[in-house]
Amino acid sequence: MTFEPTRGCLPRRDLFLLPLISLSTVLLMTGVAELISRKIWPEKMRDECFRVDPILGNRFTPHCSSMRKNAEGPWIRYEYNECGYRGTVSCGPKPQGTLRIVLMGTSAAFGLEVPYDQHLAIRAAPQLAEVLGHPVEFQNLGGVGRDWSKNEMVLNEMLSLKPDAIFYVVMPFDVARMDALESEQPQGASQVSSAKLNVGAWTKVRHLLANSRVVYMGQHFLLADQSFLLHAVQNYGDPLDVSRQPTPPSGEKRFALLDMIVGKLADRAREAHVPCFMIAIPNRVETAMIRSNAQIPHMNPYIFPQRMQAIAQTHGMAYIDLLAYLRNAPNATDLYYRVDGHPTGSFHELLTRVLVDYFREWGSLSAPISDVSGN
Amino acid sequence: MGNPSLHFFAFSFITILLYQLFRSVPWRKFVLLAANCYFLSSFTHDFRSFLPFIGFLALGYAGLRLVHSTRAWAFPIALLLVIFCFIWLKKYTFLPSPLFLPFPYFAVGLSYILFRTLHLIIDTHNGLLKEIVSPLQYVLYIINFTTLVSGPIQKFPEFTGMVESPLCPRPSWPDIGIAIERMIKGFFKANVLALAFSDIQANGVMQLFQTDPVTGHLLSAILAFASYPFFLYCNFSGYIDIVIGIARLLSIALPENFNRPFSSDSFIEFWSRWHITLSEWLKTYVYNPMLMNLMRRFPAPQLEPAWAVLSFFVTFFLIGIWHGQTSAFVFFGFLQGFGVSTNKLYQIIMSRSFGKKSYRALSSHPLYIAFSRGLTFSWFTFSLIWFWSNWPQVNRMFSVIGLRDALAVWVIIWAGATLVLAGWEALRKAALSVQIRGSAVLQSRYWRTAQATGLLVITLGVVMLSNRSAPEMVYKTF
Repeated sequence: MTFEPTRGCLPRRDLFLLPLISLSTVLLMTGVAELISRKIWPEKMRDECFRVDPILGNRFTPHCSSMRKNAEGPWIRYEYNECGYRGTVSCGPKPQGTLRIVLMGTSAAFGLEVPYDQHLAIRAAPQLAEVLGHPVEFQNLGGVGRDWSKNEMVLNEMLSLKPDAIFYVVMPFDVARMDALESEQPQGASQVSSAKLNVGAWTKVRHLLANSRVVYMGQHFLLADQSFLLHAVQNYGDPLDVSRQPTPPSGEKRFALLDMIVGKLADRAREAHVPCFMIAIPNRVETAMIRSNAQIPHMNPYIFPQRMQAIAQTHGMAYIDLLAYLRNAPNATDLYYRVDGHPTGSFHELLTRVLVDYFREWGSLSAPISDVSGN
Repeated sequence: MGNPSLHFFAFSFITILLYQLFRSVPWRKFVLLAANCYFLSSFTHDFRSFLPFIGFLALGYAGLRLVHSTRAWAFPIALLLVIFCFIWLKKYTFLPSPLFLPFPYFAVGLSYILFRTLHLIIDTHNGLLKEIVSPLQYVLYIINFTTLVSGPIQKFPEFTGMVESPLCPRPSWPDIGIAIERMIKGFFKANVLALAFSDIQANGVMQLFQTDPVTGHLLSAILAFASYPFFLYCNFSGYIDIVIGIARLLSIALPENFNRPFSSDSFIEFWSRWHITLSEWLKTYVYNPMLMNLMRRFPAPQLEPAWAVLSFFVTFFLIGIWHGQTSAFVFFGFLQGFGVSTNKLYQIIMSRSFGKKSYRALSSHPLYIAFSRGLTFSWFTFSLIWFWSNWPQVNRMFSVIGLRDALAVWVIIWAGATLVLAGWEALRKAALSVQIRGSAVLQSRYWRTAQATGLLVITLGVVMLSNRSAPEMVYKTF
């Protein structure tokens, strides 16, 4: 046997035709994969109950219900009570002897992507009632009035519910969102500036990729592996950039803004003699690092919880620490949606355990203790 | 780097570029030697672990030179010494364990090195290799990175002829296309299909040991047994496709090792389509000499079929023993030998009973072919149980299944294989019958370009999304 090169030359047209066929195949396969992905992992993020209130910011239509689905998660029914808060518990006058807890915060408190029967509010109410000796109900103001920090009326509305306690749930998303809060401009101005934007081809491609279901689900499968997640963060950095060590000036600014928002909430709560508790939920990357003791240069997964604890203490809020529970959870990173990053129903189960343990230790809502986990 | 990883592709690509940079033979030999050394060093950086390997190469070369010096006593001694050293380094279990080296050492591809070394020694002894094999030629041939891990077993004159020929042409554009297509197919087989079949098999075995209802056991057993041949084929032939493609870009034509083995309608034919270079090697150096010897010593024509059956048995029994060091592999070899020799016996009996013409007519009947193909697959599948598991596992599996269900499992595998393989053949035939201007569309370079691109996209997608590397090359351990 000897090496005999294949005889005959390629016709000149094939030098163009063959790469063209290759390219067309890739495009066709990508298109088909996108269609199939959209069929297998449908998504519906628009909430028909959502409306923008010019005064109060984001609201939900009272007595409304809607179905939403993230590509990674199941179909979820969102129901809103007569005040437009998530859940079916009435926001009317508090029943005699019932302890009313108000959940404040954004999507994590709202329970985005979490079926309501798995939400903290539903899970924790009966268990806390047992611990505290009174019926407990939750009013979920999570996600209501995204910019409630700037809007005294949201805080007034919250206090008008006569809560016995306020639980403020915060995630690194909320810290990252401070950039947007700071850069918000009057609506007209933003419309003009976006119209003037010259959207280039590369931007269009990036936008296309960002909205591609194939890419999204690709990330979903890749991020299933905790080591991959850590490897990706090590190589490309934390997209939220909340855990960078030392905290850069921009990060300090974000924390300062959040501190101001929390301060307003705490001040109003103090004036109304309502105890206020902060629950800081680290994101999936931080949880993975804490769980595996992974060391990534210039990243400290404890920055976010430590800063939140400091903010809470500055404003006289009690800080409920999750870290010990996350450290011991067998599959802590599975408690989050992998790409979306929101906590799942299982995370709310863990959160319920944390709260119940916390109040079992103290026995009352009225005077918070600082820390149950010993950290 | 013994697996078809991206690292392996990058290494091969750089080697090809450097190798084809200049036409000078010393340059090409230098590049090949450097590539081989780098390839070996990718397995371990501990030089001590290479010492037994180097010793084995040195022994083989010393034996070769001795045999070349035409000393009559040298041939059997060299042969036995090389075989003994192989058995010793491979730690065959019948040797007392205190004899073995007490430290871990590199032994990848040792079996293939044995075949190449024996080929050199025997052919030199028989006068087929007249020239003195230089140390460099020997090393380049023996540890050639494209064939070190799992073959194919190439003959020395072919290899050296291509590496040392100053006229050896560079691959043409169509060659480059064909080589890339081959590598993509191999990459797909090894990284996608083998991964899928390996998962199916592992799940089947796991479920088999769980206390499910009987029907669950049946399905698990079928999945565990019947998926393994496909896994092995994709794992092995995928790697071979890749190295054949790489070698083609190095202007080296490697022999084919597979030819659609599951299309075989007899076990004898199967072994002429599966691991072809091994079968050819054994035919050349075991079967033919043994049959000739037997016929020479016992020259009765009525005994000739018996000698053929016996030679078949011994040859394929050796295949089994070559595969592994334990008694399970001895039994695997027995099943191969039994399968091939029984097949031969059956052919003889049928030809005698019905006459050659009628038997040929029967053998070409589509229904007969379909059932024979199913039976060939089933027998190979059955014999492979001793290839992928050990005796305690075999006992456990069959005690879980029970005798009655075991029979049911093999009847279902036979029936299923008959139907699936017949369906596959029919589909293939139909697909190839679609022609434009007298040539099959599926074989046109336009279709093949689209197909290879598609396979590449799928493979890259699976590799990236599963975040898993291809299953270990099974034949790497041999």
